[in-house]
Amino acid sequence: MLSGNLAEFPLLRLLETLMGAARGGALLIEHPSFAGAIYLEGGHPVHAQAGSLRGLEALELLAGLRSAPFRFDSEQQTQERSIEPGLRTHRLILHQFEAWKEIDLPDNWELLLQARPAQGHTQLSPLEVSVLTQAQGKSLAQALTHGRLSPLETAQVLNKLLRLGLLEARMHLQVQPEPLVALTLYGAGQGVAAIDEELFLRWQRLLGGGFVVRLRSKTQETTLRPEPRLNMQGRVGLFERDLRQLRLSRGVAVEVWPEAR
Amino acid sequence: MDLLALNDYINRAVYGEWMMLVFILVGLYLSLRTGFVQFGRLGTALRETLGAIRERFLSFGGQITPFQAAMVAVSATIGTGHIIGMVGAVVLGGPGAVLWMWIAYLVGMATKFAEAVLAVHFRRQYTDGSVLGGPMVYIRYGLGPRMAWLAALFALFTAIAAFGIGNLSQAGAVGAALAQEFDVPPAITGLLVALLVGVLLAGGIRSVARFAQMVVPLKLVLFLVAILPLLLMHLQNLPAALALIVSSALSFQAAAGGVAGAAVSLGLAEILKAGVGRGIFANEAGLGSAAIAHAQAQVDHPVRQGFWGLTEMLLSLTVTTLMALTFIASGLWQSYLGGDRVEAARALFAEHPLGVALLGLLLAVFALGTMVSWGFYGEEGAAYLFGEGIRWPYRLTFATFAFVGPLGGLAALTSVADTLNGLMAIPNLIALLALGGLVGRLVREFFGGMPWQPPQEED
Repeated sequence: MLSGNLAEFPLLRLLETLMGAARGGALLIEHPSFAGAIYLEGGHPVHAQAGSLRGLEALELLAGLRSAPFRFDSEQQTQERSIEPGLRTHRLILHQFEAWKEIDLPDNWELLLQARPAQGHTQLSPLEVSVLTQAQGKSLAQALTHGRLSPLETAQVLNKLLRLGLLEARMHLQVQPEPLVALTLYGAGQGVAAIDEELFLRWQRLLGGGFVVRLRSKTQETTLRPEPRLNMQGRVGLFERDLRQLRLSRGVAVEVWPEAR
Repeated sequence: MDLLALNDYINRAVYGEWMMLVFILVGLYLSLRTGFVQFGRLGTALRETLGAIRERFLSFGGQITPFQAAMVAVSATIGTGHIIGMVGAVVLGGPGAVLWMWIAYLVGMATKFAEAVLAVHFRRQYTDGSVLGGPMVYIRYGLGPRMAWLAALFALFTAIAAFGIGNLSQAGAVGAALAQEFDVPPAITGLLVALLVGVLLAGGIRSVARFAQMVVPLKLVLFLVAILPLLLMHLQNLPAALALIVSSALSFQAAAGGVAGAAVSLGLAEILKAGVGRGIFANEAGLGSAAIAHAQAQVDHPVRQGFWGLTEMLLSLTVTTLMALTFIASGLWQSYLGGDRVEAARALFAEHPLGVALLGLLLAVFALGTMVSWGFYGEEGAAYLFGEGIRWPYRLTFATFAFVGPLGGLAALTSVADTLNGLMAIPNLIALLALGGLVGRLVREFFGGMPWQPPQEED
């Protein structure tokens, strides 16, 4: 069984080798964010999948991977057909790999994308604005697989946005939820979670910028805007309207954690 | 005029009708500034305090929880005055005095609320987590450095008054009760009381708060055990007692009453003085003492601690009302009109299935709780004046006086301390008047969902 890492055996070279040898089987790629597979019959790709993507779109995403463990299993077959075998497909695959060479995305697709304020005047097309909005708060892999555009087109736009500094890719942090006790805030406010100013600063430093908080009670989970307040150790202040909607009351224990905005 | 005569003169003034009027007027002013918080926000106050009782051990990061701070204040407030003092008010002013007491309580609720709010708003916090607060601090930082002398005056009155109302009077009450009902020699009582008070004060606010959170429920349970059987025994007279409270609020005449069985006639002034006096001095609203305890609570907004001030007043009102209703319903008040209040109370508790000894126990527990809290108040006053170094000498002196209290004597000192206790109200009421607008603003901000902005510390 052939196995290794795409960092050492680039996917294009691997496919050329398998196609040249007219091999059949499955090339399985284990990326941390999704599972990928390219099925070959007589050296021709007949089906590909990557996460929720199928066919040429899946192949397009896999072509952009620069690092991920892989193994080739000649015994594994599939009845699914999502790629038309033939010369046109070969040319298309080659074109995809060529296009990816122009793109300089980080190798780590688990990095979290965060919007940054524009420095000076920057003109963006509606399509680019749409990608920017959709990618915000998602990992690179999520942005590539869940966009409205194809993975390659999304990658091209993201590449531009990262280069312009309108997006930044940061390490995704797993922040432990904080057990807090609900406290009533009075007034007409809504959608706010008042947390202790020290906790607010700690989370702000951890996420390196703007963030929202997720609040989980026994029955519900919601996103709220954090607001720092004095002397709120162990508490999360919620306005009466939010307490009612979340079916919470003062003194109830909840879990709260930050998420990059 | 010698010093004691001067003291008597000032004492009559600070506990007299004019001073009572000032208390009521300041209470009404604060009610107006806070939008009558004691009525309009009573539901919120109860939800925030008794409704959140399961959070009693949950702090906001401070040394003691808001509940514990309130318990320190309640422990000081609900003292022997709620038993003997209440009986005394009826004996002096007749049943009608109770109605005026209720009115004074309702007005005083706004005063106590404002004190707690200001105490938290202006308190000083130190890097070791300790807190200094109370009227001396809100006078100093709320009214500015030019009024520092007024703050110092309050602190001085508190530090000395604590030896009277908070020590000799209480220790004397414990000694008398235990000697009379259980034949405990006063020297033994004095030694035990001094040890208990000394050890608790030595532990600082945490230790005082832990004691208060145990002793207040004990006080309330003991009181209910003592009063409910008596109330049930005279339950059929309760509607008549209530009617009498209302009908005799303006004037009262009894064809034959009092200890001598002579005709008794009480005018409005006497009824008012007895009732309003109880309604003011029993709960300490306006004296500023409770604010020293409330300042210790760490909360996200001063108004949240203010609610504990309202609840504290309600607890006090419940105890005095139950006491008054039972005494009036028993009918004993007629025989003791104008007579001795202690004898009247003993006569009432003589009817109790557990006997009059229960009154002794009740008074001893009530007095002990008051002593410990007042020891803390006095210490805070002394620390404000002389710095942290005074704490241990003050504690030792306080414990020594606690030993002397049950033995009797020192009447002159007790009398002077009592006057200073009354004088505490003057700087405090001036500050409450001056800072009433700020209290109103804090209330509006709290109910507008705005965060609390503490004042900038100047030193």
